[in-house]
Amino acid sequence: MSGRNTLFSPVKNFLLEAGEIAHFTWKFFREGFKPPYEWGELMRQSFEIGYRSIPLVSFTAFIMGLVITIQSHPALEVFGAESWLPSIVSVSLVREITPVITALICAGKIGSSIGAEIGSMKVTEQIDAMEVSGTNPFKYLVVTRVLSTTLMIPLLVIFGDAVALYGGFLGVNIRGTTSLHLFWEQVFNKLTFGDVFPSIIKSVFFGFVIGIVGSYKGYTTSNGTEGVGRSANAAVVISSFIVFIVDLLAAQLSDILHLT
Amino acid sequence: MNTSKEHSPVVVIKEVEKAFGENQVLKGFSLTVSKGENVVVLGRSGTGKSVLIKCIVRLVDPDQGSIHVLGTNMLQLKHDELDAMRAKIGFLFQSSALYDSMTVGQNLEFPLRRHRKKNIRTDEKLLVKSALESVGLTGTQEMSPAELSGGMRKRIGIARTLILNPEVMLYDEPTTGLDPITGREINRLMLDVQEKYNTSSIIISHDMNCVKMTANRVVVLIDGTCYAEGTYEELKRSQDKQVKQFFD
Repeated sequence: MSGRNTLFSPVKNFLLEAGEIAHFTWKFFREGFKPPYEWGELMRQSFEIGYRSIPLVSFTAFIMGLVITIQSHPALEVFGAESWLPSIVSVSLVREITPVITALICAGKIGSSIGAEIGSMKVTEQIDAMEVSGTNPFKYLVVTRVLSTTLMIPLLVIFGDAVALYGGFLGVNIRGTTSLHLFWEQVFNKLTFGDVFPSIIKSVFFGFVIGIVGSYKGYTTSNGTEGVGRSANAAVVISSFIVFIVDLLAAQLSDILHLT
Repeated sequence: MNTSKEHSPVVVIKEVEKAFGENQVLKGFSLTVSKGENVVVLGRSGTGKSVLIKCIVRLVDPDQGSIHVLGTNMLQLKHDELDAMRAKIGFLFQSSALYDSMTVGQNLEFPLRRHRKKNIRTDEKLLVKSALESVGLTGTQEMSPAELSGGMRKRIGIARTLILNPEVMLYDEPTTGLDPITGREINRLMLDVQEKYNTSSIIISHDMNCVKMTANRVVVLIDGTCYAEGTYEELKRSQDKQVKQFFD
């Protein structure tokens, strides 16, 4: 009997946590659209989450664009299809690589930071202090952060796409000479609405997942400073995991809706 | 001369019960605090002292019983009414609970802006300055909480509660983690606050120096109930084993 309990305990814990996250998400929708709105904090968080992530996203996107192009070049060279390089690289970057890598980078940087910040506020009673100061801490801390990640991550992905494509342009020019004008012409000739739109929509979900999981882990932190570290870590692991699931669902949905 | 208003009850707690799962923390606890009175709730760690004062401001909802503050039943208030009542109650947290992401000045402005809603910036600056003066920390507005010592954090925590001119103060272990000298300064500050703002206070503590200096009345919380009650001297003379252990 106890063996069976041990066996099912992780499953039970997983389902319990999934239920709690679902409830937390429901609370976000319930509280998020009710006035008063925390515009000032939303702006501050959007600045922190969006603007301050630009250097990291730019660097990663640039390297991705460059590496993908360099690595794709020999394979296309075999078939004499080097001229297809900008088109192929742009589609793979815009559709899949930039959104997913940006989301994973943001899960690490932003998700952990949200988890640790709210978590440390929880264990040092700052959330309680906020409540007795006449502030709804859920609205002030959670709603603003989740909205900021939901709004900022798609923008970071669009920005990352542009930087990655520029990296791709440099990659193409390492072994050949293609003008910037020709490169962009080839990119935009191949890219369609069906490539860009699903990518942005799934980025919205990536942002939402990163915000909600980070906030949930922070808001439910216990066991002092040790718990804060655990929350930050769990925020990254769980949100990265859900990012892949959302990506898989988005790919299936795009296929069903003939957006591929 | 004391008028009847000065002795009127400010906080009335009746038969409050609270359990966390199997752990019954408060078992029918009752307490009345009069206007201008400092009541210290004394008890060992984990006996529900902090839970008690968190029940007063509804950070924790009791399972049973009633809590009246300034004649208002706290357990029947709607969200907005509760916020309005909380503005009349100052709460000093054990860890001071200063917002790390804000400067000292912003920490003090935060409750002011939240409770007043209107934009009264010039007034705010004056109120912040005056609150900092009253705790002896003038000119610290631009400092961040990380730059402050434990004693300074407590003082700023008190200033943050005073800024709304509360009628009732709740102190959760105000001297915990402080050296005896700083602890005495905080005790003196609590007495100054009582005198200057004519507040009534409930002080949670197990620091006997704090109890001796600040208490008009001491309530001993044992096993979730009010086990003994009296002045510091009365309880010190008590022959009861459980009460004596705090004074030995």
